[in-house]
Amino acid sequence: MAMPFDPSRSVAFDLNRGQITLKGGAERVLVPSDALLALCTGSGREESTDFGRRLGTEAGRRAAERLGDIRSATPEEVVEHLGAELALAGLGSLSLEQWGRSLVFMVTGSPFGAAGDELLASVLQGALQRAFARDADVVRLERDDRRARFLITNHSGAEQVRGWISQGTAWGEALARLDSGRGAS
Amino acid sequence: MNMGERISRLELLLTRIRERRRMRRAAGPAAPEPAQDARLGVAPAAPNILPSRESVGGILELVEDGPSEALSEDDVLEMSSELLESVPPFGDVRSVPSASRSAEEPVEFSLSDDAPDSSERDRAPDIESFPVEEPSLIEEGREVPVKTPPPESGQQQAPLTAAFSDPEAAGFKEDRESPSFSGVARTDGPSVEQLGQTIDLSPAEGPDLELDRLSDLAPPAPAVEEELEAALPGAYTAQYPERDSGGPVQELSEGGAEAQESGDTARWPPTEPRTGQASRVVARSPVFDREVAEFSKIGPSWPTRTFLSLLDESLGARER
Repeated sequence: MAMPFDPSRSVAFDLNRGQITLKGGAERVLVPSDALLALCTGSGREESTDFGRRLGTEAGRRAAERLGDIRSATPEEVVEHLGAELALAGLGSLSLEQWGRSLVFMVTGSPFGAAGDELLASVLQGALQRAFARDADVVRLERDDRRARFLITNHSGAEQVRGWISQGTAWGEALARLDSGRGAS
Repeated sequence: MNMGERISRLELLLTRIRERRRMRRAAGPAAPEPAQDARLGVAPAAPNILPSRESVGGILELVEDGPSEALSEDDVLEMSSELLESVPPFGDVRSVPSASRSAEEPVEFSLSDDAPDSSERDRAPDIESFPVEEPSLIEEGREVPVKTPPPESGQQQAPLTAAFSDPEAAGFKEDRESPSFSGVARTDGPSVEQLGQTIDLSPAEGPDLELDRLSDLAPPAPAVEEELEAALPGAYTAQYPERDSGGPVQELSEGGAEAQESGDTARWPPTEPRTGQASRVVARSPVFDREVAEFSKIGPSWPTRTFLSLLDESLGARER
């Protein structure tokens, strides 16, 4: 069982040297969130997705190091440590839901808002790839002013859900259809 | 003799003089009086001459020197007849020598306000309106200025009124200066006008009333803070009888949860005094042990499954 996340001295500000570092990580830069979002939206979709995946890969690596045995990690432990990494990066608060057989990540308080949901999806995708060695596709199901839900599924399932939501299907109905299709198969 | 009595006696004297004159005119109209001759004269009217203080003092002395019997009416009339001849015509001032003085010392008094013959009203000269001085000052001949002193003269001592100069009022002055003076007239008792008609009430008739002691009806009120202006009512105390009927009533005050646990009956409001058994008790139905709320856990399979298995299930359904 993994140890609970200890945020003590997770971030070090070396004011003499003018550097910010995370414990066990590389140097960081504090930049305005809107400036970073403008940079991501200004660049291409692929560049923005790559940028997010790199952020997620770093977070997944650090979370996997603290989790230890990934195979025995419980959902609570994963949420705790992976969510701690996202929180240290200032991307919001992470939680996990299960709708039928589908796993849904929920991020609350993202500084990027709705415009940064694609960036957050790529971050989660990179974290799951790095921590659990699974190629997952992340689809934003819905969002409101504070939180957004992201479905963790495979590529074919992600395409079906995107198609249903674009047709106006509610995200709950889309999840139900996806779960029923899994049962039929 | 005070000033008021002097004035009264002077008025009485003048009234008697006029009455005498009127009687003389009625007795002999063919022989006019010298005074009337003077009035019917053609000489220009002399200006009104107000009586001087000396003349008033002379009159006062005239009245004061002797008893009224010493100055008979005949003497007064004779003196007035003699003087009237020596007075210039149409003069309003008559010089009346005092009985005690010589004839050369005239005593003046004004007749300008004499009532007309057709009038029966007797009117005294306006001696009351004259400034009256203290007898000692008058006797000494000093003249006290009557005029109000100018304001720049400073604070003046208020003169004593006639009432305070009255020897009978001296007692009141002494009472006024005494520390026990309260401004209320000192009387031995209420006057008849104040009392009016007194009605004696008959004694009350009716059944005798018996009142219970207050301590038996209500519990003693809590101690009231001294700074409170009014006593606040004490907190209401709910009463819970014990579970077995007929038992003593158990009080439930603030925080009396143990009493509530031991009893299920409550009375509200507490209209019955605490004098024994309650006449009517509304009992609350007993509460049996039952599960009021049911809690369900999120999912019993969560702790047993790993995140990786859930992830694989979420990823691999279509691909399997």
